[in-house]
Amino acid sequence: MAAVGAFAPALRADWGSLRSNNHTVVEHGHVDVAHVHPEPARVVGARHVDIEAERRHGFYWAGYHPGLTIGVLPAGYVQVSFGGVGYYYYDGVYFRPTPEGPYAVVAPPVGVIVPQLPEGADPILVGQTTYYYAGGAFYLQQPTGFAVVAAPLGVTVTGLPPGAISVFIRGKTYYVSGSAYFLPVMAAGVTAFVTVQP
Amino acid sequence: MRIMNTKRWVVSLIVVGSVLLGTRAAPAQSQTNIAPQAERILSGACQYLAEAPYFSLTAEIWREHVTVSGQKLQFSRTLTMEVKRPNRLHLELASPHSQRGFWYDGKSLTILDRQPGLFSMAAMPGTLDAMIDKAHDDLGMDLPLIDLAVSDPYKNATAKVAKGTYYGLSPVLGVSCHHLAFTQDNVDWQVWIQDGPQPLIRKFVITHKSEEGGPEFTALITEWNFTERIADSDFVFEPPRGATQIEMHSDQAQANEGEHVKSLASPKSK
Repeated sequence: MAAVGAFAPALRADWGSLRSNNHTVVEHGHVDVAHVHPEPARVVGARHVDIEAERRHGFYWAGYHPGLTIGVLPAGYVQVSFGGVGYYYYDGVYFRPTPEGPYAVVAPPVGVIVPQLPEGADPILVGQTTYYYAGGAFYLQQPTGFAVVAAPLGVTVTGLPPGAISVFIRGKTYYVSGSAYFLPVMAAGVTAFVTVQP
Repeated sequence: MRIMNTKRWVVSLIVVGSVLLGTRAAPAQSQTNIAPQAERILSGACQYLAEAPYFSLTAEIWREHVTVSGQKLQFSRTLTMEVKRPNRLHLELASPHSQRGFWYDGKSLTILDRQPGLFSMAAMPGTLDAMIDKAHDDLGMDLPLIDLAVSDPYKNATAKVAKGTYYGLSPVLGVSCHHLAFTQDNVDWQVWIQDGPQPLIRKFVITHKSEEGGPEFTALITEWNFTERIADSDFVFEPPRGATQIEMHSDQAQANEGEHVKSLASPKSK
C-alpha cells in the first residue's frame, strides 16, 4: 500500500520497461519517494513506490476487518485506550473483547495512541504535516507514539481500509469506512482512492 | 627565397604533422561498447520483432520488493500481450489479487481494474511509441515488457547502454538461449534469446541498481505467436456489465494534490 502526498509526485505501478527507465531522469526523482522509517522517523533512501496489490497481503493487518473475531490475541500485542475504552493493539489491528469470549477486530479508533506504527506504514505529506497511512488508518506522530486521526481530505492512497464498503452517491461510486469517504481514481494504471467529502 | 620556401615548407610540414598526430592522439570513440556477438544477436531478435505486423505473447513476470528491513520479496503475475503494429495493443496483467486489462485502439487507452469493476480512459496519440511515452509522462504508467511493442526495439533497448557482453548459451524454460548482459547508468539488464532461426526473447531481467537493495524485474516469456491473426475487436474495450467509469489521475493532478479533489471531473456509470 502506498500513499501519495508531496513525497511522491508520481506513482509507479509497474516495472519492466527500459523505455520508461531511459525516458526518465537517472536520479529517480520522478519515480521514487524518500521512504520514511516509522520509528524514529528517518529517511532510509530512495525506493520504488510500490503500489501493487500483492504487497499488501504480506502485512499482518491485511485481511483483518471489523467484525472478524479471533480466539487468541497475537503475541506482542499491547493495551491502549481512549475515552475510557480499552483496546488490544497489534501491528495496525485493534481488538475488543466480546461477551462470548473471542476478540473482535474493530475499526482503528480515532484518538488512540499506539507506541509503534504498523509495518509498512506510508508517509504522506499534507501541507507541512506528515501523516502515516497503514491498515486503513491515518496516524500522526505524538511525543508518546502515533495517534490515530481522522482521514485528511484530498489524499490519495492505493489501499482501502479493510472492510470498506462501496456506496453510490449522486452518480459516483465511493468507498466508506467509518466517517471517511474514498473516491476511486485510476492512478499510474491502478485503482487508487482519494479521501473526499461527497 | 630558397630559405623562405624551405621555412614555409617546414612550417607546413609541422602543421600537417600536428593535425595528423592530433587526430591519432584522439581517435573517434563510440559512446557504447557492445560486443559484436551481443550486438548481432540482439539486433537479430529486435529486427524479427520489428518486422512482425502482429504478435502475441504470454509471460510470467516477477518483481522484487525490498522491505524497509532489507528483506527481499518476489511477487509474480502473468502477462498476456497482443500487438498489432503500428497502433494496437491489448495487455492483461493478472494475479490472484489483481486483474487489470489495458486496451489501446490508436485513439485512446482504457484501463480496467476487473475485481472492483472500475475503468478509466485517456485520449492518446496515434502510434504505439507515442502512446507509451504519453502514458509514462502524463499518467505515470510503466507497462511491463512494453519494450517489445515499440517500433524500433533495438534502438529503444540500446539507447543508453554503456556496455554489452555475450555470455554464451544457457537453457531457459528448456530452450537453449544466448545470454546477453548490458549495463547503463541507472539499470543493468539481461536478455536470453532463443538459439536458432527464430530469435525469440525468452527471458528478460532488469536490475534497478540505483535503488536500495537492487531489486529486479524478471520476465519469462512462455509463449510467442506470430502466425495467428489477432481480431481487431481484441483491441476494442467493451465495458463489462456493471463496470463503473472513474477519473484518470494524472501526474499533474498528483503533483497538485491539494487541488486534485476540486479538479476531478464527473465519472460516468455504465
